Amino acid sequence: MEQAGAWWMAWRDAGGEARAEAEIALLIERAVAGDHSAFEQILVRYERRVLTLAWRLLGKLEDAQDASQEVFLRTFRFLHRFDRRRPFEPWLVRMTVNVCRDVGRKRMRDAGVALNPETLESAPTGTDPHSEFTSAEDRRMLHGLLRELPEKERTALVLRDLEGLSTAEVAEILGSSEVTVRSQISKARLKIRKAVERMK
Amino acid sequence: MRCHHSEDDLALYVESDLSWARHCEVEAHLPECEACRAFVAELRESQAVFKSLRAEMVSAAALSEVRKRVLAEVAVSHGRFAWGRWLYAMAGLACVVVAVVVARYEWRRMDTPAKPLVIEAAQVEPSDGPKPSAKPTTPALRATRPFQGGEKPKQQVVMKLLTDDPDIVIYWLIDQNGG
Repeated sequence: MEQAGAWWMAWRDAGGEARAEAEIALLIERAVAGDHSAFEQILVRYERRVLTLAWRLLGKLEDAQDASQEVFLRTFRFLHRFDRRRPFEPWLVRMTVNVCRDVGRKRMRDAGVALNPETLESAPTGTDPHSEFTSAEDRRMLHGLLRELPEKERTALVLRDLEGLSTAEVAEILGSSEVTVRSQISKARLKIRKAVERMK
Repeated sequence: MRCHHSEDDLALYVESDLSWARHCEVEAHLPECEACRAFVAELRESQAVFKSLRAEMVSAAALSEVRKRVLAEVAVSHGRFAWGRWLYAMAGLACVVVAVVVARYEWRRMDTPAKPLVIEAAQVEPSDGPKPSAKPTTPALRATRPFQGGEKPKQQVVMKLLTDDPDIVIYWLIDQNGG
């Protein structure tokens, strides 16, 4: 556990991130003491990260919004239990993954609903060498493919390739070994490769 | 694959997820193997396409809706919490008041001396037979007066036992000669 914390800290840019951690620690302290504006600042700071991750994991914005709401309500409820000596973001990411797992299981029977591109904002793709692949239609297909992956493969892949965490960090969040995570990631990447070949 | 490197290894290699030793092995192998090189190129391409999803962001409206919902829920639960806190405080206060009242009552009860079992004794002449003493005397028990010496007087002692119940009085006739 200590090692994982060290990985997270190493992953960050030392100066700025340390300052950010100090700030968030202060906000948490105030929020735990009952300061609502401090909790709101935490919410504002992490809402995009949480909603984007939830949306990538669940593939449906409405579900992602429900999951994000639940994540922040749990944060509000259990913030006093958070160990302030440890980085906050992995704690939040782990909670997001767990909530998404619960939501995903609850709605497993729901028919796959395609993402609504209207609700998405895409970064300009003019400089992207693969922009020919990333039309709204292709993105929809990629999201569809992501949804079809087994839950564990999808989570590992999203955390590693879209969220940019290391395999060690992913293993820590998922509570499994690095070997297992590597296996899940490699399987998922091979499936993505096949799908992209089909898209051509 | 037509060589000893598995597809899994190559899928990890493209994102540097292999151990350093394994990574070096694959790297040394690639110039010699056309099939693996092609496979790695395809993987790199598919990874680039997949990673283009990173550029997608949820809209400000979607974020704002979540924030609104969370803050509304937090305000409600905070109100509930505050109300609950008051409720607990009042209940605690009530418990303290009840405890104080009970303790005070008990204290007073213990402070008031309980009516003791009074044992009175009166000396009677043996010939007279047992005769209840009409005049209660205190201290309660005088039946065990020390023997003053000389010949023991042949006397009988009547003990009157007074209980809490005024209707119950017990008389006890004692022969001082050991009878």
